[in-house]
Amino acid sequence: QAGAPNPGAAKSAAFGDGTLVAQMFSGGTIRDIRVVGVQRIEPTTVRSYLAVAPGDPFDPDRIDQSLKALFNTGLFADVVLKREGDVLVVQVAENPIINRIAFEGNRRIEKENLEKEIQLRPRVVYTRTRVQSDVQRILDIYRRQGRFAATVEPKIIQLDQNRVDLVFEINEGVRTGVRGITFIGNEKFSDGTLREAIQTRETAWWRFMTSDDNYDPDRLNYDRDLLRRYYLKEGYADFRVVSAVAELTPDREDFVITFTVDEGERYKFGKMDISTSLKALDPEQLRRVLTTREGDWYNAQEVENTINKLTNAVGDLQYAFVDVRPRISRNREDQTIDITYDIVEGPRVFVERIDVTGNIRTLDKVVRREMLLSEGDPFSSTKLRRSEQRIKDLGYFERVNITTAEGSAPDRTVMNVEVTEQSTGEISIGAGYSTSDGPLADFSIRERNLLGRGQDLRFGATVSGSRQEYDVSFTEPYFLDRDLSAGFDLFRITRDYQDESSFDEKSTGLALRMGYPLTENLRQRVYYQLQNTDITSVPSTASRYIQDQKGARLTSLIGQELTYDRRNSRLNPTEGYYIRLTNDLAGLGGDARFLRNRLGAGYYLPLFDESWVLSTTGEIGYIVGIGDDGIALSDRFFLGGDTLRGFNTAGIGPRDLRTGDALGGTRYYRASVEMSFPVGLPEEFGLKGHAFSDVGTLGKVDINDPLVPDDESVRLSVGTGLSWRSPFGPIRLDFAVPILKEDYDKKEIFRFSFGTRF
Amino acid sequence: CSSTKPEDQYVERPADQIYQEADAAMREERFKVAAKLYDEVERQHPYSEWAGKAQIMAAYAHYQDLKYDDAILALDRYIQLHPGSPDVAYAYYMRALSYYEQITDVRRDQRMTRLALDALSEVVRRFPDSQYARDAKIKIDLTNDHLAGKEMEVGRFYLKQGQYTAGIGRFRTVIENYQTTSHVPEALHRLVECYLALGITDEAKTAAAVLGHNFPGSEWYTDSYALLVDANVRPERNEKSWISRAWSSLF
Amino acid sequence: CSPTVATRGNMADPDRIAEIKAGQSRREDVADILGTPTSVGTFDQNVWYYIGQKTEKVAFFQPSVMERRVVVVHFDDAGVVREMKQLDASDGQQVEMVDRSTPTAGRELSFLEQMLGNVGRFSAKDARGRGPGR
Repeated sequence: QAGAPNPGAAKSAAFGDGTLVAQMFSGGTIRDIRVVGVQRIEPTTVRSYLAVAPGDPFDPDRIDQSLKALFNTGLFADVVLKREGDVLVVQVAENPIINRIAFEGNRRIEKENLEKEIQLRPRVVYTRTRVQSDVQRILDIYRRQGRFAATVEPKIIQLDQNRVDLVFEINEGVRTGVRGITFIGNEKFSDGTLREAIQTRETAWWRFMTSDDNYDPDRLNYDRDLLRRYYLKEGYADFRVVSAVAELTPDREDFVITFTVDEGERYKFGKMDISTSLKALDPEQLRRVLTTREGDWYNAQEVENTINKLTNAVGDLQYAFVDVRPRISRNREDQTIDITYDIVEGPRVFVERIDVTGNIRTLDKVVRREMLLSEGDPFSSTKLRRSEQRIKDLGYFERVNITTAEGSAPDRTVMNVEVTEQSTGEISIGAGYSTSDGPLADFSIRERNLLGRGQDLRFGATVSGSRQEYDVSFTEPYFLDRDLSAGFDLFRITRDYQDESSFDEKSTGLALRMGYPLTENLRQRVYYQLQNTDITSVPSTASRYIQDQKGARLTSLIGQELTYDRRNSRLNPTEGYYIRLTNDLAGLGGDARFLRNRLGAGYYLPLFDESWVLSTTGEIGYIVGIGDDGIALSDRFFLGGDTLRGFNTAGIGPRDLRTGDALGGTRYYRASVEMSFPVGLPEEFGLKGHAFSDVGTLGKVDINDPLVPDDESVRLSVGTGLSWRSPFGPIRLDFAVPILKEDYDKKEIFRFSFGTRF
Repeated sequence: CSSTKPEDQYVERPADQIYQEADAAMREERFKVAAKLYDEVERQHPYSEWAGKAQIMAAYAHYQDLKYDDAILALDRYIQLHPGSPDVAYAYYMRALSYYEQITDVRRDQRMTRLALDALSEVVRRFPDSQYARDAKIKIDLTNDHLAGKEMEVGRFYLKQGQYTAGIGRFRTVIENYQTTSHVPEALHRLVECYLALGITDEAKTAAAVLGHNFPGSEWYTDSYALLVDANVRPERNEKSWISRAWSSLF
Repeated sequence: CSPTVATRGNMADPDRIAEIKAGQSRREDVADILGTPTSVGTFDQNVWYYIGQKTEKVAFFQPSVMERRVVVVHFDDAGVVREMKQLDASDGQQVEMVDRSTPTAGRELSFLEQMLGNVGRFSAKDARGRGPGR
């Protein structure tokens, strides 16, 4: 009788002394197999896992194998194989079934989130290993929230019919914050600058929005890397993080983190050189691409940029398989680093197949058409990276990950473009206030990836004191499957100019538009617009020149817009420039006949490592009638408010002195110089100061009337402002004082605008 | 005070009584209620002979309620607990159906199609002579046809952009790996188009010959014949106007 | 305005093509010199194709082929190069792609499913057992 293993402990297959068991199980054939101790599981199930069957000889290895198989099912707390004569007896004790799972002490995390995370479920078999792994999973969730002191105790309550209730007793412990971050060995940069370079922050009350201020060991490693990159960017090629240590404070509540660094010497760039083994490639031709110049401070980031630029430049010269490798030689005496960029032929690999996965809603072609590579093409990692960026820029996906694996032959690779979709439907309700329009509410429904076809459909409505705007716009980015975006807009805008020029303007219309790239950065848009504009509710006291503009006018115009855009971002550009030319020709039917031209440009210059930005923008425009009729009121330009701070909307330009109504003008220019700078608070606040000066004029309204001044004199204003990217929405305050003005202009010293989306 | 949801009440009831109630709910097509009741049978009486039957009926209720993920979960558990039971063939089959009915159209991710193919092949492999195997075989052909459709969709995308090498790769995959599907005639014709555009006429001719030999009546053969021999034999060439082509590309 | 130029497929390099000698080079030599063939004869394993083209795309017009090189390598049954031919863009024909496509089943996502985004969770009640995805 072999020693009976203690029940309830899932034991390994060994029975203590292996040899005794071996003879017992050898010799003779198994006449029958009897299964004992099953309650829920049928005997046939147990037999199906055995490696032996009636009629087989007693064979110790196969019996041992059966034992292991039965344990691996996880269904049994204990299994004992015995031999009575030539009958094999399989005695099992089933693992209990879980009846209910409960959590106690989980204040920070709700029951549903915990349930989602663990594997065990009611009616599933209870095994000790699964409970341990679930305990670990719960601890991981708390660790991710920065609670390292949490403990989890699984408790079992026995029920009848071999069932158990499982209770996880959780003691969450207190959130372990970061009391202090100190640096040792840093002479060249202050603790404050280095603290700004890493991601972990010291715990502070106003950091309630971020979890960066609680201790996380993985983030500590990431910080070491951030420090190294920061120093390499500043030229300290020998920089090393000696140690990064986090000690628990005596009261076990927080951690104190200490970085010990060895900065080493600061290096300069020595000789730069390009060498290549490609036959027909002349290195001199690529020299202009080098951004690292001899004598500059060494900067690892710049070397990285140069490699990318070189790879792109060579790629554009149609060399398919190219690898650019920097050969860095460091001479310690004069602290310079010489770099030779070797351009060598990389492995000749072709793309065999591109699979798009994860696109539940989006069509395959919407992703595939963004790929710069197609099947059969030579493989190029720069094109792969640029394709990944293009797919990300679509904004339809949370995560885009392109992986490559070897294809059917060593020189062929299969690319898998894996995307995780995010909801691209936006319902945004905004509220705001601006001194020119009064309280403002806007509402829009937008679907940026309609039916997964990549089309953009938007219904918008803006209602404010002086403006109601309703519009519908639809865009297909790849019309006729070409690189041609086409779309239409329907709009209805009612504007109240009563206090500026005592008239209301109601315009309804539609526009058809098409846009296409001419080159990488030059894009053209052509459009047709049909609009009916109605000047109404003109009081009898209004200026004569307003009175005779009453009534509706139909404008049918075609236009084009050329934009050359080299800015680093459209939303808030900090570098680069753009130039835009717009020409509109009205007269294909309709009442209005004019030619309107506008030219705008903007230049953005980052100073003191991008925290200060100097932006200068300017625009000129003129409109000239065709044939004999003059320019109607609604087609004229108005200047002031946002376009010329310090002056009211339509605050400058020709005005009927008798009634004070602004009459607009057919010619204008305006320019603005603005310096935006941090206000000393850390970057994460999003608070910026502004100092600006606006200049401009508006005039030539073809009315010769002594009481309608039209002298196109220069208006200039100077001002300061504050902008805050608050969690509720962007807020902007501006104070501007007009310096050069006409006495009949309308001033507006203070402007405030705030908008929120939710 | 935590409010216990109705079905959490731990009311001890005999297994067969709950089972009858669940069957009634199934008949009235109140699938969600039926699924909960079958689960209750299994929870309160895990060792009664009702437990096994209840588990598979719960899965069937989820399936009827189109809750495919829950059905698959329940079926996996049933298969693990009762590998030898007579109903396990039906469990495998219903699991395959649960994937099969989530297959989306060819222009989207075909993950479900591949899962369905594996599940269906497992039914045929494990229970070759069961009546489920016969239906699974038919569905396997339809699923393969679907995967071939995906290859064709991508092939046409490249062909429309004039990327003939990419197109040839995809159309050849259809001919080599999906010979029994309905897309082979079109794949052959597309090869004719690609090779002609590249000027490799003999390859185009062989492809057309194979198409003509195997699918003489097919419209695709007429198209290839027109390309290779003479154009006016093509069936009425519906010269769609520019506007209608633009409109169809939009919607 | 400079058009975007792209190299597609395997533009075999003329000097490498010159290294292949008819009657002498074998399949392995060709594979080493030019790499795995872009495509093999659909029904004849003894002919290899190396297809590459340089295309130029201006604004929204379809990319136009600047240069195309098709290398056709015929092997005899013993795997030795029998004959080699080169074709270029002039050999290509203007081919009008047939608009039809073989119908496929699979559930077209309803408009509502699209807009609400949780696709594949709920589907038509009545459909049972028809084609894939009903």
